[in-house]
Amino acid sequence: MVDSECMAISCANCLNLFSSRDVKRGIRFINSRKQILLQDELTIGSAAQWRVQTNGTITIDSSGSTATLTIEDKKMQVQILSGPSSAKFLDLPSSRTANAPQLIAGTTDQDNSPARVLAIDIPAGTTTLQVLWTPQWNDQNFKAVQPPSIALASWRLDSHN
Amino acid sequence: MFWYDPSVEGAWWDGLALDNFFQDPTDLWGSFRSSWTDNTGMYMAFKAGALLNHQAHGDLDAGTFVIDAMGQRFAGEYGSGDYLSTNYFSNETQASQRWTYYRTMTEGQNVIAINGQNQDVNARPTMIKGESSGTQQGSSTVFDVPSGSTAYMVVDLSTAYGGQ
Repeated sequence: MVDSECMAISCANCLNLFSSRDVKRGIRFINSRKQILLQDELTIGSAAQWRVQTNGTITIDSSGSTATLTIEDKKMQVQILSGPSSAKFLDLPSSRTANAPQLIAGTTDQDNSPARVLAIDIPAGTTTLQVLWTPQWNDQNFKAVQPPSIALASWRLDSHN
Repeated sequence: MFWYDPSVEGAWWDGLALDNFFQDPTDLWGSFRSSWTDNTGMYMAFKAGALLNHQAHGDLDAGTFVIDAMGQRFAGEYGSGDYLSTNYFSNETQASQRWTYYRTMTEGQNVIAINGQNQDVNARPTMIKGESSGTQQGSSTVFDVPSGSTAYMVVDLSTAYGGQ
């Protein structure tokens, strides 16, 4: 797909000649509303970053595929179920990256600390990123489930049972 | 805008569906919960409305969500930036200074940022599909989610990123 604005050789706002951007997101409960699945399906011509602002203290396991967010004594486990092979969680400050538009001189942001950003870097290309949110319920009867991998177009009420 | 009706009495949650889709494309969003009366349950909300026509009070946040569980908000939004900051309410154009502040820019939301860039203000997100089991809470404040009760929402955000 060709963006007609980008046919000129120089194009100040042109992020990517011949870029194709398809971005879909789905969110759902699973396991009788005890867990949440967040799924992104992307076709992108530039690298991207998945970001979540959190008040939780972030810890990330050695594989980078499981993060735990802790607020007081409550813990939320966040897992990358599938994504690019390079995908791993990052613990970033709650402020803009170097790629983002910058503040105009003389202006400032609020300080959002101690909030942090849980992030995942995504390379250009076609990607399905599935992230599972599992609260560490104080319930000995709770059993976490790992949902099946299903394209967003095939999500139904009973698709993840 | 939401307002409080003080004349409402009794168990307002009795017969109230756990999930709701608000489908006006200007403010498209969904709310989904495990209970109306237990704030230690699970709640999620997901929005994919247009980014224009919010009187310069919106954020570049198509596709953002919040998640609550066990009485805490684990994925959250900051709300407003500094109302007194320069040009905070100037306009909603792509070049508006409003979008240079972290709390209103795309990187300040719970969404994907491509190359760190702000979403396109002309975005026209759509809900591809959204369904709910239709579960309603009963008269009691004690409510157990029936097995298999669920809801989901799928949106197309391509136009927020220069796609179609």
